[in-house]
Amino acid sequence: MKVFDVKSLLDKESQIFGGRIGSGKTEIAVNIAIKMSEQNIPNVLFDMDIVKPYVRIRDIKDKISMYDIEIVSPPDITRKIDLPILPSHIISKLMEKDKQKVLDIGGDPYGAGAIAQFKNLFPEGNYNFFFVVNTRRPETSNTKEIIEAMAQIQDASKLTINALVFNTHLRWETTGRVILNEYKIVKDVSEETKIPIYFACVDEEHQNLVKDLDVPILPLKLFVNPLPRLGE
Amino acid sequence: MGEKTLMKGAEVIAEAAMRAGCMAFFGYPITPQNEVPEYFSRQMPKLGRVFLQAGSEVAAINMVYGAACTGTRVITTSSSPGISLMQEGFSYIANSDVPCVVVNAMRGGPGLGDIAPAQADYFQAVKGGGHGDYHSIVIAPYTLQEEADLMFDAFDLADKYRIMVVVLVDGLMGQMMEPVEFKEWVDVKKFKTPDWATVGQRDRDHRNIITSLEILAEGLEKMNFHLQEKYKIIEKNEVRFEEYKMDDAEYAITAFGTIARIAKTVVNMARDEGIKLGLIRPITLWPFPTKLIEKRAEQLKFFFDSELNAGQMLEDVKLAVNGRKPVYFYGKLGGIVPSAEDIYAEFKKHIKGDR
Repeated sequence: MKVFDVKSLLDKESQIFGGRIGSGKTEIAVNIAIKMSEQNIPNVLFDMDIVKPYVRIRDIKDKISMYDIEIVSPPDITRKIDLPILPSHIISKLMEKDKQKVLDIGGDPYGAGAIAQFKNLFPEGNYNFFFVVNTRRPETSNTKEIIEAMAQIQDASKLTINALVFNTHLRWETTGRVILNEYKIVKDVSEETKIPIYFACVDEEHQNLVKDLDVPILPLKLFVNPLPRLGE
Repeated sequence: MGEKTLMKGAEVIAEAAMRAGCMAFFGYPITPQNEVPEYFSRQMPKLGRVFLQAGSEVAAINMVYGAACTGTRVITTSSSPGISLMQEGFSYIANSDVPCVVVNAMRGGPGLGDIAPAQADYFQAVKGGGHGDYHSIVIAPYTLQEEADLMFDAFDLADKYRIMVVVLVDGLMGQMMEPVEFKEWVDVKKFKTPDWATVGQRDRDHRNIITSLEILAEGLEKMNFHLQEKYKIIEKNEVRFEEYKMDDAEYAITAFGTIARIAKTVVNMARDEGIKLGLIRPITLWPFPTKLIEKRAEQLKFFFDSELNAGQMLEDVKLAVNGRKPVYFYGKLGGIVPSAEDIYAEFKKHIKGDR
């Protein structure tokens, strides 16, 4: 098993994570920022989710405070009201050149649309736009659905998806068989679209489940889950 | 399907409703349950079924009323303020004896409140809400798997008793994600139009009329007697609950939905310390498991009720206990969800004086 090295991303200034709702974008963006901070790579983590009402980066700030990540998110006072708000200083922060930018954009075309207005701040070739996919989520369970979702999200964002992230899991019911079988689906997507799978994700406590995959692995620390498993 | 899918609670509601044979959705968006109409809006047209975003919640519930009068499986979903707007329609539906399913993903109130999870619409759901003497069957799942299964029961119960069934969850149950396995699709071709439905007289010798209006007081009283008879049968037959580690319990937590889920952890924490705590979880909030609590009062030293409100189900627990044992309470307001540690600490405050 080869662990994914965030240094391989540094030839691009921005790392944008999009996908269907519940695909795991927030968790992955947070983990990428953490990995960068651990390697002393200056970075800013952007909370650009205007779709999800709970468990966005702004809601888990306390849980990740020990990792020394600069977070750009809407003010805390907006956490429990229903306003599709972007951080007020987002443009100046997006224009800063000296730090890696990790962006968590909202799910589905609605969420992805929020980044389109900043298109000019993302010159082609200077960002990675990751499409995060969990094949155990509804509406991304087969090649056709995934390619359709990618097209819709790309269209709404006005940016170009250039990378896939394989994030199939069933929380505590994830098995190695599920991961291995369904990796083939995303492989097919990759072959059909010519978009490479950059890495696969797994809960850091279950790394053995992904040992047979032929892509680098990003072991995830989990922060987003609002409630523990029943009885735990 | 037969396979597990990772679902958001809101998606579970929509997917399970469609599988249970729901033919029409009418609603108006509100956070934190917008994923329900979004999911319906994508899937219902593919099935040749109805998805309609109404101009308001008031319009939506009257569309539900109309569809229900035809004996069609119909649903609306909303959250607290939107549900308040629907109350008049609920009351009409109740006195018209028509079946429908309503999901309330409760959020913080009163008023516009916030979008955080709450359980403060218990009174509204269980004690009526709209005007007049009526009840709806109220079901409160606490995991997404249970939510998926109970959506089928909700439609079956609605049809069986010609009654509105409320699936009462909080925002968190709508937003959280868990692996879920769905039951098979109900074959809607096998549904028969009920003989009371208003779908045209055809070869019937009489016209079906559905109304909640009766201008003679004696007639209206008769309609009310009929409703009360129906409620008695439901109270006798449809009470559902779960007990957890209650056999040897000296204390019991009473809780529903999200808090019952956290309470299960609390029970295990107490058991680890040798404290004989159990959980009584009403699954139907109406009809309420009064007899069970009455019976358990004999064995327990006290009850500890916990909710995301100022003490609503608490009143029903107290009525059942009827003063025989203390009933303590711990609630969080405004959309704050306590941790298992918070609830356990509050519970232990009462046990100190008790031991």
